[in-house]
Amino acid sequence: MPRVEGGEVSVPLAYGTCSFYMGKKATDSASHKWTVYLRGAGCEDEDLSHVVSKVVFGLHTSFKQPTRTVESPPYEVTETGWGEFDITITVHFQPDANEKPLELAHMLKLYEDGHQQGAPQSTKKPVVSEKYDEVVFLEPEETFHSRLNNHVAMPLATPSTIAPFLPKYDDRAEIAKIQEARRKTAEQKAELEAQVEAVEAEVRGLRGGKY
Amino acid sequence: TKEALGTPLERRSGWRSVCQNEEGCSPPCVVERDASPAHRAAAPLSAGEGKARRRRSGTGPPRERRAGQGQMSDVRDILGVDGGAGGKGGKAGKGGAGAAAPKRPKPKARKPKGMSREAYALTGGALPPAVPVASAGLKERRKVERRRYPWVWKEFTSSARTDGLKLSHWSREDREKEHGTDYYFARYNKAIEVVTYDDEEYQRVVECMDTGADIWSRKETDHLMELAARFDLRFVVMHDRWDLPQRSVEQLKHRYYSVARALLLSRCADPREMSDHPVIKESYNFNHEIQRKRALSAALGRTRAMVEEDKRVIEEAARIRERRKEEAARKELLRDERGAAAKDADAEAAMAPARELPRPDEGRYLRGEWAKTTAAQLQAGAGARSAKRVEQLLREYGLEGAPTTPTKAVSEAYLSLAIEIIETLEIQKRLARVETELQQLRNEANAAGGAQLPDVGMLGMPMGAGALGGALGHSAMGVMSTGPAGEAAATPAGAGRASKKRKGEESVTPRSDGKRQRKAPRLPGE
Repeated sequence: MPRVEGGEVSVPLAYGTCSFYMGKKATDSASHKWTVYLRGAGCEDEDLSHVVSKVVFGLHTSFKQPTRTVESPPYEVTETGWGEFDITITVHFQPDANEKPLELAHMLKLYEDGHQQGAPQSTKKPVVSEKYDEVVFLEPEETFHSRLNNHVAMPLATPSTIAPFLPKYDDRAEIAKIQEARRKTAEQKAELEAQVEAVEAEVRGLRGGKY
Repeated sequence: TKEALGTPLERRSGWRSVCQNEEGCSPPCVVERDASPAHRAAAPLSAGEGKARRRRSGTGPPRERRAGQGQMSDVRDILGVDGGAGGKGGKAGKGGAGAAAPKRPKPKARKPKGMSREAYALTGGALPPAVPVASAGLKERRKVERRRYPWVWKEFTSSARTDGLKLSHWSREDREKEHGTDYYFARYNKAIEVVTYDDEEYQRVVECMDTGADIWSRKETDHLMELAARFDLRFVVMHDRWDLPQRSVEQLKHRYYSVARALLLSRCADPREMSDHPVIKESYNFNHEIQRKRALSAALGRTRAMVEEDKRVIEEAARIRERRKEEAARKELLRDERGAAAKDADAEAAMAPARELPRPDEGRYLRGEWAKTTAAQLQAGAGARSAKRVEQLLREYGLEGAPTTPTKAVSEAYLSLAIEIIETLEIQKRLARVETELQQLRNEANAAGGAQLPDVGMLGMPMGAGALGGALGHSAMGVMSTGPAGEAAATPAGAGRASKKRKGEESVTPRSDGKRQRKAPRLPGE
């Protein structure tokens, strides 16, 4: 299968956890109802099934059948529990991508930063911990490449229940910040270089005069 | 004497009461067999009687436990309740007093005489041996398990021998069938077939070859062939046995192989059909062999120091190469940046992406992860202190940590920014270095240039003892070379620092001004 030389395709996605405090229904062993998910971040409720064949979530060993496989979007696992732990997320790609599965890890977050022990939590507003990242396929196979390029981003037929709580991404603000920083750095550099030039000229002058 | 033996009761029970009460006390005074020294002193007994006491008949439970049993055991003993040894013992004891009755083994561990009974009991006393005697089975004969084979003293001849010598050896009958008639080890009598020639062949084939510097006489060649046959072409041995004027191993080999080659080629009809023969296929390269052996001995003779030296040099070279590559990459980036910036002065335009950044090996990777690790690598490459400065600066720009939305544009811009910051820091360092240099030169100029400047400096300095410190001041000023030079250098550096401060950066204190003004030495008047 030929590969596209020097080409790359990137798929933006977001993954993380969204956790609701169960309020009155909370027990010692199940105080929070949480969902770990993987979703497309390109557009609202994006359907990733053109790239992703299945997602395997690895929960804590204390859960029954800790390895949960989800083969169709939304790629989510919802559980109840009381503790925070590392969840492994293995993303399996469609066979024509001919790539190894990608392994991610994410810490389940049940409490806000700075949450005091015993302080009450809202049952309506969830605690969301999400990470945005892009999967870059370097020199992808031709069929895969063309399929991805021709794909039109579609929202899910049945949107996920937690979708309203999840953040949306826009990189324009960050680009602006970085560019501002670069501009400043460039200015500094130019100034410093000018100074270095001046001092070096003096040094040369002194040296030249003496020797 | 009868008195010594004691009352009939005592004699029977084997006990003797020390108490001198003739009627016997009630309850009876009991004295342990192993009387304490005090009692002993009061009633000395003969050694024989003491031994007699301890003797008892063979029946009865083992008495060694006695030592730890305390008072009750004594009572039982006297009354003869425990196994009836008391009554029997008495008789036997008495009877045995005269004659030694060694039927019973003496208790192996007797209480040492100086110790009291209780103390002895504490040590564990005379216990029966708990360990089974290990040597029980050693001298037993092993059971014969296997079949016995008949061995025969047999005469044999070996086909490997040429003289027909008859020797004899022990041989196992059933194995004889396997071995066959010949001597078993005659099969190993292999010899190499060395090329042979007669006079005519020699003259025809070999002498034609004999050109060149190395002349081999017929005699030498014959000797060589004979040795080869004798020693199975083991050249080292042949070389050792070489009788004639000295030849090296390589020379011997060369001569043998060239002779063999020539002979083989002349004998066969078609040279090509012999081309598989090893002598023909692989020709002996005299010079190459000498070099090879020299190289081999050199390689074997390398000391550990040399090996490590080489390793270090290689590592150093690799490092230098890496550094040079990085430098080249950064310089190119810098050049591209400058070119790009010159092209579009507009800050909105996208800045040139970094091309030389290392891409991961995997076919697929996460851009955010890659950006983070690459940034960390760059920072680490710059040095520990620089890494901290870079982080600090990023924080000031509001870009702490890796970007939260690592799209292609963002990641590349972020990494380019990191590279630029590192370069800026390097320029700062360079500036500091150059300024130090300048200041040093200025000092030298001042020191050489005459006495004016120190005086000027003195007046300028708030030392307060101007006239007095004249002579002393000179020497002091000689020390305080930072005075005027420091001031002069302060201006450009200060301007630099001020400008840096305007940009919101902390200043990297250039060492020229960092040299603290040394405190004025105390003048005697102060």
